[in-house]
This record gives sequence, structure tokens and C-alpha cells, in this order.
Amino acid sequence: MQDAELMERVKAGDESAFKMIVDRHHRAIYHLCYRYLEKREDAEEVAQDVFIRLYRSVDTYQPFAKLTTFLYRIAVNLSLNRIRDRKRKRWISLEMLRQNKGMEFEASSRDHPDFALELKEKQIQICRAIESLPENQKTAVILYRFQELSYEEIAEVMDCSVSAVEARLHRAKLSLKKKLNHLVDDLK
Amino acid sequence: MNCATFRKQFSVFQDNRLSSDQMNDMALHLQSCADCRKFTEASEAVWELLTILPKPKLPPFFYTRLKARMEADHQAKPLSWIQRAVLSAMVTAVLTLGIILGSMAGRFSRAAKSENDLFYGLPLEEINVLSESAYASDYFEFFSQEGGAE
Ligand SMILES: [Zn+2]
Repeated sequence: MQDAELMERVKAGDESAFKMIVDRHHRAIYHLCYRYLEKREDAEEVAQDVFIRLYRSVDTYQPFAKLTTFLYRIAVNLSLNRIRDRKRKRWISLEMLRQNKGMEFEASSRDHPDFALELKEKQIQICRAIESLPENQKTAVILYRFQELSYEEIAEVMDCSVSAVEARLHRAKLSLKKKLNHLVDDLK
Repeated sequence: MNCATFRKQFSVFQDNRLSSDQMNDMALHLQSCADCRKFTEASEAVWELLTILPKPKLPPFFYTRLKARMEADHQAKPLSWIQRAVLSAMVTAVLTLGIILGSMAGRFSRAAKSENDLFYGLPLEEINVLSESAYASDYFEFFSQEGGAE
């Protein structure tokens, strides 16, 4: 069943339709939130917030775009809000990463502590580089690289032109290259 | 094509978003220019590197936990800051009233002889506090209406 049809059923009070929507999209939304927040508890809470917003807006919801666009847009906004809140509270998420509280490692890394340490250090540097991007560029990178949305879909989510998405990704790639070049040099 | 033009378009070239003619021009430049080749390789390697970030496991029972939160939110609608301010003012008023009544009761049990004594025995400021506290019942009514309207 299509999302639009399910939303009509939710509007009519069908709770199982809401469950189907959540089951269908929570994975993508959770991973999107996690990429911004790098902390599982926060990602789950914000992902829940996204679906609560959806549920509450079901009466006014218009199928102007794909439901995923709508969900991604709320998820991006709520994640960015959460990051702004953290900054106000002087939260340093990288501390969490250093303490290995927020990140999960592959099972194979556990068998090779040196490799795991090196991998973790790289992951921290990548997180720091992504975190340092301006919000627009960060969102473009997360949606394109990690959520695998097309330029056109990103433009819809970010409510901008496709050429703006091109420009944001271009600048982000230059910035990431500058900040992470030494990591790939090490590989050569 | 020169290097500046190539660098301006490297990102959309990397993402395969140019026309086939433009893609060919870019590829030709890449073959002939070692600097741009190095630049492109490094950029692609960094882009590839981003995928080493871990993907967390999904939290179990996402829907169940979501529903539990929605129901809890629905039952315990948080007070707005105005409601909280009024509530704390109300608590203060009730406590003040309690203290005053307590001290009055103590004093009356020792000194009061008649109803006239009771009234004239009260200092003026305590009478004022008493009359203010009468508003407390209005506040209670206000909250019970807010709760009931939900
Ligand atoms: Zn060149």
C-alpha cells in the first residue's frame, strides 16, 4: 500500500496504518538522526519526535510531496534543533565518542584492538569534519552520502534548487578533502 | 579545458551529473593533467572514507516505545511556563496562609476571649494576606478547567 493511502487511513483513525508507516520508515529516519547526533538515545528520541509530529499533523497533512520528503524534512529540522540546544548547553558530543559511549564497532574490530583504535580515531576525525560543516552543507552530505537521496530529492527536502544542492555538495567536498586528506595519504 | 574549469565542475563530474559531452571533456582533461588527477583521486578517496562511520543497530521495539511515549505525553501534558509561574505563586500563597493561620491559632488559643477580640487582635498586614489568599480558589478553578478542556 502506498504511503498516501496509509496516511488517509491514519486520518480516518486507523492505528494499524500508522504502525505500517512507522515500520516502513523508522530505520531511515533513525539513521538520519543518528548521523547528526552521533548518540543512540538522542537519535531514537528525535526519531520518535518525527513520527509524533507526523501523527499530530495528520489532519492537515497534504500529499504535496512524497511522505519521505516530509519525514526527512522534519527529521533534519529536529536534529539541527537538538544540535543547537546542545551547543547552548555546551555539550561536546566528541567527548562521548572518545569515551566510546556513542559508537558501535564492527565485531571484527574487537578482535584487533590496534586496528579498532585506529579506526575509532579516524571515525572521530570524520565526525569532527562533518560536524564542522555549515548546516546546509552538512545536511546535503548526510542526505546524499549516507541516506543516498538524489540531488532532486535533496532539493525537495531542503526546499532549495538543484543547483544549490550542487553548490553545497561541491563546497562540502572541498572542505572535507582539506580536513581529511591526511587520512587518505596514510593509505597510500 | 583548463584546470580552473575542471575544478569548478569536479563534484558534479564525480557524481556523473554532466552531459555526456561535458563528461568526455572532463575525462580528457583528467587524462592529460596529473595535478587534477591527483586532486580527483584524493577527493574520491575522502568521499569513500566517509563510509567507515558506523551504522548503529536499530533500537528494538521502536513502535512500542513510540506508542508508550505518545500515550504518556497525552496523559501528562506539560504545563506552560505561565502555568508553572502561577502554580508556584499559588503554592507560596498557600504556605504563607498556613504559617499565618498556624501562628494565629497559637495566639488565639492563648489570648482570644470573644469574637470581637479575634477580629481586633489581627494585625493589619495579616488581614491583607488573608484577603489575597482568597484568589487561590480562582486559580484552582482555572487549572481544573485547563485540565478538563484537553
Ligand atoms: Zn588540470
